Amino acid sequence: MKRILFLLFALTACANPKYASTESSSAGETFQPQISASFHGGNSVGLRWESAPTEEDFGSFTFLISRNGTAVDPQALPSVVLWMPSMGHGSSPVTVERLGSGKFRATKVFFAMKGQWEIHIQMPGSTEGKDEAILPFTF
Amino acid sequence: MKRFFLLLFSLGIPGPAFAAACCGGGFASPSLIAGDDQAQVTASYSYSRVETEVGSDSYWRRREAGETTGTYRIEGARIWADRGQAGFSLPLVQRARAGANSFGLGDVSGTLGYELLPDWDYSAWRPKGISFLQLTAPTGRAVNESTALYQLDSRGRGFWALGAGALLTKTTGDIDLFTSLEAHRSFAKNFQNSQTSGRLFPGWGGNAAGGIGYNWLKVRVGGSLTWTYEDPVNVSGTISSLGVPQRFATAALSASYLASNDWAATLSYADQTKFGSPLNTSLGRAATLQLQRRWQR
Repeated sequence: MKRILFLLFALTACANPKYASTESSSAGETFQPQISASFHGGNSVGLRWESAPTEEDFGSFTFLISRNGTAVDPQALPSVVLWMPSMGHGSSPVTVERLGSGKFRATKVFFAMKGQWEIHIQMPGSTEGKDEAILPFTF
Repeated sequence: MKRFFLLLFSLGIPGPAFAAACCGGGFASPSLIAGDDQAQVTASYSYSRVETEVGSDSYWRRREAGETTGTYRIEGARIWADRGQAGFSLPLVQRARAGANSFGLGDVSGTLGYELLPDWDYSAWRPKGISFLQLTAPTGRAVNESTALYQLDSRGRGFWALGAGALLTKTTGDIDLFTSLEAHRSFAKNFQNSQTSGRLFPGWGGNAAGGIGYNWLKVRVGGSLTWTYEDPVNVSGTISSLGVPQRFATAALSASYLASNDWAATLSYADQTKFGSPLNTSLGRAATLQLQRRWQR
């Protein structure tokens, strides 16, 4: 009987929300990576936000691909995919432009919902994530 | 009088659960005749708004920008062979956010029911029980296949799904009670959009619900609580990932008015932020207006 009462209590208990902090990353004037990660192929990438996305507006960030401190400049543009692994879906397409040797800007960065996301930066020609770096981001 | 209560009571069974806005909607509740009618058609309009998103870390993050969903739904059910019944649900969904919107078909479903526990003698204690099978078609488009900004063109879960369950009802005096249990299996599918492609692997899901109502003259007021669970959706393809289970609870209050033996109306309010321990989902609040036409046996 006690177990049944406990089960009933647990099932009908009021929700107890834990609200997350609303602080977000700020834009920076010079390129100092805020987060970094490694590609499977050995390159590394550093990312810095220019403007953080909001619930209704796009954001943008720059990223630098390097190996042992030297910029790596792929001939084609790397691709950027925003991915929410817990839900198994992405967001709207990101636009990538080249700024300089190994340095790129990603614009139209938008997260469809709040939560924990991954920013996948994939080297050109990589298929099914074989050479990509994954940077975590909480929106 | 008993029949009168049965007519009112069947209005109290919750309609299709609304769910994570990112996914357009939840698994549809079955379209079943719970009373003693030969057939019924229900038209409803539901307006919901996303209030909060709960991440896989179980933290709640309040939504500041409004995202709303309006759902027009036609449901029908008909008795055949005395104890059998068949029904359908056809939703049209309009999602809106930041000035953009998308309108189209949600996930349609068909239901076969069988009165497993008849209540021919109006037993004082034995409930009436209806078992059912439900097939859902992915006409609402999975969020993974979305091409629109804010993913507004995802208007359903977007998976073929086969479910089975049972509904038990009991009326005693002015009070009625119901409980239902449903489990479903969603099936894997390939997907492709402008950025990614691959295969989605959903799993099992289910709903458990309970409710109570009080009947007075031509009015019924009631409340219900529905718990919903979905297995993670794993992805293999351009991006591969392991998902996280999704769960939430929907509390609903409803008031019904029986205009005649053939017509009834229900106004209900549902809130997903009050109960349970939600995980990996959007939570919202919804108001629904429902009009029902019945044909007696």
